[in-house]
Amino acid sequence: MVKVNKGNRPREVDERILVEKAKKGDKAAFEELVRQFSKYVYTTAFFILRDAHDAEDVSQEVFVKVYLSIGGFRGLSSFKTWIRKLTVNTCIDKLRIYSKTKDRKVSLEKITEEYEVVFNKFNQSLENSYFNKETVKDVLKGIVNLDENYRIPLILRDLQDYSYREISELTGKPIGTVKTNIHRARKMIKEKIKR
Amino acid sequence: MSNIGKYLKIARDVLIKPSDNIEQKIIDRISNIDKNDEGLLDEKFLDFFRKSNSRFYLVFEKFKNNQGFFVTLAVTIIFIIVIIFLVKKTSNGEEKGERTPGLSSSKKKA
Repeated sequence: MVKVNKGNRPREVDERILVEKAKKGDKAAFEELVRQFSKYVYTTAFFILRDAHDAEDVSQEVFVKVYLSIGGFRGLSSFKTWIRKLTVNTCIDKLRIYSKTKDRKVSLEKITEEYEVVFNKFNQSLENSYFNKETVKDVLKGIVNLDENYRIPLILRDLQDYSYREISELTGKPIGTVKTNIHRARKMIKEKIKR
Repeated sequence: MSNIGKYLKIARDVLIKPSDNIEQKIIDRISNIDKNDEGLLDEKFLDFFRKSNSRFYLVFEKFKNNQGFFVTLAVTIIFIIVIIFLVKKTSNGEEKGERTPGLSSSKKKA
């Protein structure tokens, strides 16, 4: 099921105001931050970890960390950037633990059958195009089904805007390998979409 | 399918809606924070927190992530400075050249 949001929530409060209030201990403001960013954190965690349960755990862990430390947050970067990096770091740590024990694969159907994909800022001209939405869903399925060596660098580069250098540091792989893996990952997804 | 970049760009804004009410779960979790949860703020987190609160670190990271841009900028600035310097030097030389014949003619008269 696909739900299309035509824009941001009309009464979405400015994140900076909420952060400032939350820093002063305003719990209602923090709860609003949770409402605004929980799905974003969950989605990021879900694509990296490929497991709804783990994504939920990470989401809770991230917000507990944020709640405990927001008082000292200087706001040198946006709250979204901060929480995104914290989420990615937490997920990478989890993956390091999992890599020693298991590597999960989610079936191709799982995203569309069990999870609602929300097109948050879908371009108006594309909105009517069923083909585009379906293709994006296929791309997401393709990403989720990639092997970890390809999936993580691709997600970090193309969905999370990390630089090759940052990805190299996070994954502990040389920049050349990271670039090659991202290139291959894109190629694999292209192939999957073609079919 | 050469447009993969276009679809990846759209995919950036896609959200997966959790089956359960995750917002409420997180809010409940926060309402029940105890001393043990402070253990989540481990050395790794504190390192991340220190870095994200350091202006110097963030600027340095920006520089490292955009080395090409900053090097091009520096080279352009140096090039402009060199051009300005050369233009000034040339114009000074011309001024001196103009003055010298005047001086020599006055010397002759004397």
